[in-house]
Amino acid sequence: MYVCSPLPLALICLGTVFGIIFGAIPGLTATLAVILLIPTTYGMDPSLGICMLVGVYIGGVSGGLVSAILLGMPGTPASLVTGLDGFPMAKRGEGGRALGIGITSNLVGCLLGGIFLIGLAPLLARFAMEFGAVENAAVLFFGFTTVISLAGSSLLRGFIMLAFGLAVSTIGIDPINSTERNTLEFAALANGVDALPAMIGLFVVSQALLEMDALSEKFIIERSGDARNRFMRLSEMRASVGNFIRSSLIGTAIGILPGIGGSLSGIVAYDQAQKASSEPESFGKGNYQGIVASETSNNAAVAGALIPFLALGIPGDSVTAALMGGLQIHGLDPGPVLFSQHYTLVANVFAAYFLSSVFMYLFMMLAGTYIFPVILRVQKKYVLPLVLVLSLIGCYNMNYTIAAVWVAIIFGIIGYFLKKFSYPSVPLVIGIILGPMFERQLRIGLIQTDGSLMPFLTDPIPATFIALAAASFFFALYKRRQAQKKGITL
Amino acid sequence: MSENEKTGKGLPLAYGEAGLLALLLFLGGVCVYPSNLVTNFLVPEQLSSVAYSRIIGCALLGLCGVRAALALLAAKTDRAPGRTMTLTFALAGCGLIVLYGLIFSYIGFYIATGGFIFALSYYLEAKEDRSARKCIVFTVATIVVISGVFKLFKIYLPPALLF
Repeated sequence: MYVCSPLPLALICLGTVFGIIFGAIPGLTATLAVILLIPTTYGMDPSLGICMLVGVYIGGVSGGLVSAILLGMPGTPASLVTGLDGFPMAKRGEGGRALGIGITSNLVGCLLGGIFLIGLAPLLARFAMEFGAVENAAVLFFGFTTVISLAGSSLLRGFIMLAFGLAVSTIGIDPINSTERNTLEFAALANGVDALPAMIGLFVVSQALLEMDALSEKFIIERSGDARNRFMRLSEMRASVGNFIRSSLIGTAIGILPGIGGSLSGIVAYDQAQKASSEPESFGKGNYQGIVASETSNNAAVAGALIPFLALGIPGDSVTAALMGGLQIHGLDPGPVLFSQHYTLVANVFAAYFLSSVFMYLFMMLAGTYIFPVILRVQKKYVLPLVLVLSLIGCYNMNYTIAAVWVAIIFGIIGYFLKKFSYPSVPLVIGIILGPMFERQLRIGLIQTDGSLMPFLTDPIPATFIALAAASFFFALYKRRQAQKKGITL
Repeated sequence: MSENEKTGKGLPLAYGEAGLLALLLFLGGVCVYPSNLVTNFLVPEQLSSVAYSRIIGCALLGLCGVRAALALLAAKTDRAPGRTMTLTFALAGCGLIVLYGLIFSYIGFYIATGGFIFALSYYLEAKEDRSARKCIVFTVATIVVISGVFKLFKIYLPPALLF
């Protein structure tokens, strides 16, 4: 196979490391890494270029866990919930173990997702195309109820944060009529509030502000933990088999749906892992199953996003949209024609996907688990200014607008107070990210059904998701009641 | 948590929370009374832009109203340790970041970043160990590394008055 020769192999490895570094730094994303490397592929063979970019994609998604675990600041939206359990583990000196579990989960997610990618790509892509506006709105509604059930001790606060996120998402251009709405005549709000800078503000800037509060602590993590514990124990692997399979399925299935992808898959998988657990109260306090769920599903979502991209030419997320640009500069269009006329290229992409996954695992396990804790375990006075500067400049580079920097700063300050008042930030971020899509799908769906809500309840696919949403909500209520009876705080 | 917060001194969290909820109520109000009333003449919309915005706004108003009432009721009695916050830390940190944003936007990235890194690293150092010289060395080294990395990766900086 072409990718197994030295040059492609070296470029895949280089791309993976490049992606890991970008993923690990809050504010720099896999999308930015792919966009930066696209010009370097102009002069390359198309297979070589696209294989390197696939490596960047996998590295970028996987690298997000580093800062989520060691700093409590997710490097990418895909690692949004990894820090919920990873950071508490790192705080109690199990940073190396948490990283190891996350990296192993990344590999498992990639491999299981990859099997779906190869075996079911055309079939799954065709099934996903059955999803119209009504179905997509139902999926997003399910996502919202899932995120509410992660709201901790108060469901009311979760609902408020979700409504806050949805309200923020109404600012800017109306997704159907393309006119300004709720901008209060501020020109800077005309394009709406960008989700990624808001997320960086809520998770990175606010966490930095909280760390500034605790001036007596010199380090964010007092003990980085023994890197020798980084390999998952056999008992942990055995206990995680169900979680691995469930999270991979969730990741691949949600990853296929265009635009919904990585950030939601981690949350749904995390929620399902919590529900399946015999000790749900330990989630959010350092239960390794939370890391397993989040990291397995977000890497499986990479495979999910590649399925409609390769099989139908529909980008599943912003990275695959950038990858599409990478293919098009070589005169290639992904889709059924790619499978029939450029089968070797498709085979090389599949091979690069697996090679990059394995290299990501080897690099992060053998080098990353030693290097990252040392780099990130410098004193707060050095880490915080650097992280803040890189995050804010990363925000600017997303759209080259200074408004993005202000979005990050304002949401950072809001996020700081939210944490002080025990409000969950995840529903807010999900509301901002998925709000415009939910509105668009709901309104188009209602146009298609002449304003009737019945198809949401009678058509099999949307009805299934609405039922799942209801079940998820009532199950969360039930668990909360049980926990209150036992005097446990969720 | 700062020492004051551990001992229950400072602003009760419930009052602070009421302030946050006031902001959310304002946003809810904006959604209920959207500035642009748009009618789509091409497709008869069953759920218009304004109606959607109003549904979200009403939900936010209702939920925040309930929470604000609960928070204010709790504020009268709740001054337990860990249920208060020291505003000075929050204002210092937030103020520094806002100032950085302003200088970054209007004067220049390198000047803003230099000042910000120096001020923050100096502020985060324990009072007895504070050394301006160490902070200056760290600031200069960081600026040099950052500018090198930005040049290498072609990361753009916003145009401002100075460099």
